[in-house]
Amino acid sequence: MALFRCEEMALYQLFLQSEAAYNCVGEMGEIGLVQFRDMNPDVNAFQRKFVNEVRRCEEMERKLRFIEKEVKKEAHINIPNNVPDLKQVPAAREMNELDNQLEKLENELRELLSNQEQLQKNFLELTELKQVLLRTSIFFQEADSTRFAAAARDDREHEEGEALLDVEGGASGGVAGGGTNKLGVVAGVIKRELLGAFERVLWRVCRGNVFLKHADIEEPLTDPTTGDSLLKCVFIVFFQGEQLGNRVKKICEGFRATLYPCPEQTAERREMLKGVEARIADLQVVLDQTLSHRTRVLESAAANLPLWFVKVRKIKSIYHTLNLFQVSQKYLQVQCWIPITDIPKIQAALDKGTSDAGSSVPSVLSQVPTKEQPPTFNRTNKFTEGFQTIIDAYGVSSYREMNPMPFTVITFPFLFAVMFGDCGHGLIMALFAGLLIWKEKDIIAAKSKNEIFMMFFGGRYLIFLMGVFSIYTGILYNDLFSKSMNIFGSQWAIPQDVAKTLAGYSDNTDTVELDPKDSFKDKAPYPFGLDPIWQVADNKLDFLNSFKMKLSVILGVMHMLFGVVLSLLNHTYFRKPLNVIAEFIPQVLFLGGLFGYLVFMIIYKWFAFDYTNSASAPQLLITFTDMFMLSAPDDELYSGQYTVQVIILLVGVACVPWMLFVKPTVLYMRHRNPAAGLTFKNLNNLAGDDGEGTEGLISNDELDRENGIGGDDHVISPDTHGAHSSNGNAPGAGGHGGGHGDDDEEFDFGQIMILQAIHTIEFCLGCISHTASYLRLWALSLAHAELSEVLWSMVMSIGLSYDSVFPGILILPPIFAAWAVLTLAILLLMEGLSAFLHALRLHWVEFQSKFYHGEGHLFTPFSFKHIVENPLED
Amino acid sequence: MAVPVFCSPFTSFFCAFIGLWGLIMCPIMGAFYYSHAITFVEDVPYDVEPSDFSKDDLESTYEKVAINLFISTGVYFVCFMLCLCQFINRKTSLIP
Repeated sequence: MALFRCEEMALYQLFLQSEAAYNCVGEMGEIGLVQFRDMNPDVNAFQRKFVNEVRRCEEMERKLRFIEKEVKKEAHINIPNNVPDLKQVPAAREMNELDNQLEKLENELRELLSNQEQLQKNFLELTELKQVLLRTSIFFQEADSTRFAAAARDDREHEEGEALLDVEGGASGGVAGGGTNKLGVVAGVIKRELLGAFERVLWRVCRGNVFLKHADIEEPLTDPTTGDSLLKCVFIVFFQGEQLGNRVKKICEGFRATLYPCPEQTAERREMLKGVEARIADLQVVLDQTLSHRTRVLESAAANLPLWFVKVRKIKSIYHTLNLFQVSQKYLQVQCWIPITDIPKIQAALDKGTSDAGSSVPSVLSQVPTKEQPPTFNRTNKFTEGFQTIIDAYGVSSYREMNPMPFTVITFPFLFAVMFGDCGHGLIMALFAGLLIWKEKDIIAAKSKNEIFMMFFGGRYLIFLMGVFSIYTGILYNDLFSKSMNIFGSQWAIPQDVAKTLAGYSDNTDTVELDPKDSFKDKAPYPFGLDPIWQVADNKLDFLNSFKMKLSVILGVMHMLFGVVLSLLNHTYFRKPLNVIAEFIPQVLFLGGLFGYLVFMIIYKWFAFDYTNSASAPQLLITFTDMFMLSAPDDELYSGQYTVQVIILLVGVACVPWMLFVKPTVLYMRHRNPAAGLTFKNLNNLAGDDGEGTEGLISNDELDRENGIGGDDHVISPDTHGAHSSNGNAPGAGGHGGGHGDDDEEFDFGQIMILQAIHTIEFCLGCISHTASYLRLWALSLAHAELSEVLWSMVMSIGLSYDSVFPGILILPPIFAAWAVLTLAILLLMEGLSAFLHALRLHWVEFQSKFYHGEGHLFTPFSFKHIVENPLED
Repeated sequence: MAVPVFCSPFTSFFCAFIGLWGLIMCPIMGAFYYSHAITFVEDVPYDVEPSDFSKDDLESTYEKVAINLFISTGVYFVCFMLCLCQFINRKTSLIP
């Protein structure tokens, strides 16, 4: 019965020979069915045996990430996305090979990178030098002409014109004051934005005795380290004297301007310029070659990159797992949880691992008796996975209790559809999910990282069923984008005499009241669903509200009764007849008696009264409240109603102390008189738990007998059915929530009583509040229908209200588009999410509180598939 | 096709979807209007005094609205084709 309950698990001890350990663990990872336990919980991560291997793997991962980063910098290289999983365990020696390969690759790339940087730096310098040479030639020429002019003046007038530049080294010209003044020159390149500040500082520091000229470099230059493009300009500073020269040089250093030697002779400059240009050309060639080499290396690496990532992750995870083992000289041992039905598969994988490693000693699996609660393993396929996920979101089922998932497959989409019922919206939802299902292979391969989309994709089967069920309930509610479909012809018709007088109606009567006596044809209802006449009826909601409310109550009571029945199945499985007598029966009587009677009355009233005597039908609400007040009804639904109601009420009230006192009393008596407390043989084996039944996995009688049942031979031989309270004879063993199954647990009557009281109150009050809670089925379906209708009448109607082509055709398409978008956004997305949430709540709270404990923990096997897909969860 | 691409892949897919919806729903609605379906009686622009009511006029109004709907089907067909070309030209994956 693996569908209705989780898999049977067992705790096994695994002994592996040291040589074979790596391969065997790898095979375990491939099949993904074993959950290992940490045998060294107190050991620091750095003191475990295989910590060096893990470190190496992390180093390899770092190198891989570096290579990946380099590859991504070159935008045109594609890393292949879908790598087929080879389902192979990478051999241990592959780690060394891979390590070497990656190291070589990394070193090569790093070298290339540094070379490239160096080359680019040189290139920058040369470019700047070229610019300096080009610009400064202009300055010098200007200075030259000034000098010639000054010399001419000197010759003529012996004036104070100073020769600014002593270029030719010849006659310095007649200078009035001071001796020969040689002007020093400093030329360089500085960032454009620093130029203004540079100029100001120069002026202030040198007291205005220096002369700065500058010119912008038009093309931006690339900074080799950061790759930014900067705007720079060339400057040249003329100064007199050594001191000023030092100051100028210091200032240039401060502003991080690069200085270049600039020869003052034109001829020298021209030669230098030619040399620089030649070197630039050479450097460009070298740079291009370096880049192309780098691209080739990266391309070859990119092809293998995903495969390497997968391999390294697998190897790392194997060593992490090996770290959990208890290591001794010859062998490694670990405890693991295994599903019992998969033991042959696991054994085969272990044999394969052992033979791959070339070892002759087989690995040993032996069962370990334990009383711990095993993890819960629900085997799911792609269809049931979505449903299991939403159940597990609230609480993972306890070990071997009824799994609500198979029932949820039908009830959840159904309750959703009751709240969502519209054919058109259901159709769109079903088509959307159908598209996701049709393309599921492609979408899985694309490995999208968009969480919201992946959430919708994960629930595609769920959404598809929701859509299909919504189409069904849409047909029932006769709602197609808020319009009714008239398939079979309405069963209502305006009688002839009323129709004749309609023509004479004045303007302010636009409604006609149709009496079913005259207007309802053939006394037979519309064959399937709601009659389409209700769409044009003003009192549609009066009828529909009453109908939907009653329907909600019926569905709710049925759903809850079903939950209580599931609890019976749990009690039977865990061999707790006391719970059946003390809890199940009074629960059924209470819920079924009181609320089942309400359901009965609803259905009876539907059948017993028709339009001929509907005026005299008693109101159910008043009937129900009168029942609780024990007052005689004024109108009777059926004869003998008063007596029946009194009986039901008394039985219901009697159930409360039954639920409250019977079980604690029996447990107390059993605690007092272990031998005398035996009424039935099977009551013997009960522990004091209230149906948790999560004892260990012992499935053989011998273990029971050994456990000290001794002296008591009323042991039932359990069949191999699975867990049952193994230490059953411990009288009144274990209070609630105590260590279940320990023999020496104290019997705390007070605590048991309190817990029982809480459960009873929770159940009884819960019956009322949960039944009312199911009215949300009505509320949401009303809201959905109203929203749909309002959207149509406020948006779509406008587009349809033009009878001539000319303004009509301009307005209708945009209005239709607006209506469609609003339908998608409001009615499908918002209402869909809302109905989903409420249906989910109904399951989680109202349904599952009747039987579900949900105190288990998930089975998390060591699986490569999971690790490779979620690399960050290490 | 040499249609210039001017919207993102998601926009073009969405508009193609709306176009397809219009392409399917408008002719169906048009057909229902043409056959004087009662369910649309509140949306038909025929507001006259009860004394001036004429069934033939009502039916002809129905048909006029149906013509409007059929023409808008054509509009949606154009829109759908346009967006489909956009989407195909892009050749990128729809999946975000």
